[in-house]
Amino acid sequence: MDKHADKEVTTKKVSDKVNKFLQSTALKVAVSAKAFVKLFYNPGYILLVVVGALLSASLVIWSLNLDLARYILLELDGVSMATRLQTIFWDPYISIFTTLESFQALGIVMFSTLFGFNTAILVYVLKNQGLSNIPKKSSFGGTVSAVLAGGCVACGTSVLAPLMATFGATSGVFLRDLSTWLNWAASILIIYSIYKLGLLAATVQAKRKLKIDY
Amino acid sequence: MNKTLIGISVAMAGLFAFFLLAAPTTEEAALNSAPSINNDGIGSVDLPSGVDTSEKKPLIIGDPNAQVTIVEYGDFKCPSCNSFHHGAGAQIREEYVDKGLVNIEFRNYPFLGPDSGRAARGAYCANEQSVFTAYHDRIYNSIWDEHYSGGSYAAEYDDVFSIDKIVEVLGDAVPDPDALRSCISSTDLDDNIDADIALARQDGIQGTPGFVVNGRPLNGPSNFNTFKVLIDAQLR
Repeated sequence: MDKHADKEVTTKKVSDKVNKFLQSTALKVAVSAKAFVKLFYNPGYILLVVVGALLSASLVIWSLNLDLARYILLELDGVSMATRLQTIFWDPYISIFTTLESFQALGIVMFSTLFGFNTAILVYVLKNQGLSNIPKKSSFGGTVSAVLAGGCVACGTSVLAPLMATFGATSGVFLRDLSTWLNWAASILIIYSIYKLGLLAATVQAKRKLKIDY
Repeated sequence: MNKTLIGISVAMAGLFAFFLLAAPTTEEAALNSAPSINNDGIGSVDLPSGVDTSEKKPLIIGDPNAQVTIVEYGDFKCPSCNSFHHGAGAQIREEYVDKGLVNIEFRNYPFLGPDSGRAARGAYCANEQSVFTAYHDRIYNSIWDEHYSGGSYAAEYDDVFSIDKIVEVLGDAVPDPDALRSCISSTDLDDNIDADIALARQDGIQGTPGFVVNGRPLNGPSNFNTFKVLIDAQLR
């Protein structure tokens, strides 16, 4: 009987802890999301999102052909700069769902959009709080996630593909799957990064509202 | 709009340019990776670097004397290659190949099981009867219609191209079906496939579909406009 009661108490304790954790996490996510949305009252940050998204998508799409991208941008004769820029930054975007398989294309669109958002919020936090004032512990996860995510997709495909090929994994399917899963993994890391940076942005906004100097 | 934010956007574009300039060339990456390919279908060829490619018979789509040649590396079972065939590839054929401006030299890069090798061998066998273009189109269309167009890619790993199936798909396009059948059963033309794979390595190709356009490797599927910019520059 006592054993049964003990078990019930323990279950309740665990359940309370889980509920408490979920409630505090939900609150944190809400605070972070609100701060994130407020950011875009300034159109400059929308520009950052667009630039960040276009550049990161181009890096991902061109990651296996950086030499060719460089050739088109800088060396190809008789082509206007507008056509060069369109070929590198715009054409791959508008044809992404016809050129690539849906799952792969969706991964790239999601990653690049999130990367744009992450860039904007990172710039906001750095601009308003300064690098030295950011609490190391809380910024670590976000910043490292973003760097890892950007790195693992943009460089990952071009670096890992030849590396894996060395071990006999030369296959279009393999490369396609590798880059697709890197995209999705990176997107998850970036969501975490945006969440962490959103919390920092909320602190900045609250301090501003209360007119607290740094 | 905040000047700082515009400055940061410009700086990001600069970083992108730096990354582009600092990246190793595709040829360097290919040399460093030095892939070896084991294509099960054609007797486990683990290619050394000394394959003779001089005797290789080219598989040409379009006018052999066209001003521009696009080299395409593909596997007849690869969904991305098939997607290219139905998308940008079809546009290239319509805009350039059918007008005699460009030809496509197809090179085999079979890696998706024994029937990939069989289909690659069939390409050279069909070429012996001067029906390579029909072979290329019918084989791609067959697996597309039966599997990939509906979004099912499981066939990638199945043995879908038996000799009977290849002959059936070709139908009346092949003048001598029996000769085709016996050619696919033999290994007489396999040196061509070995040469294709050796050339892929030499050209910096890392997977399928892969291309050489305007003397530059292009890895993976790409949109029509990228090809157009490169072809137009060469035609000028």
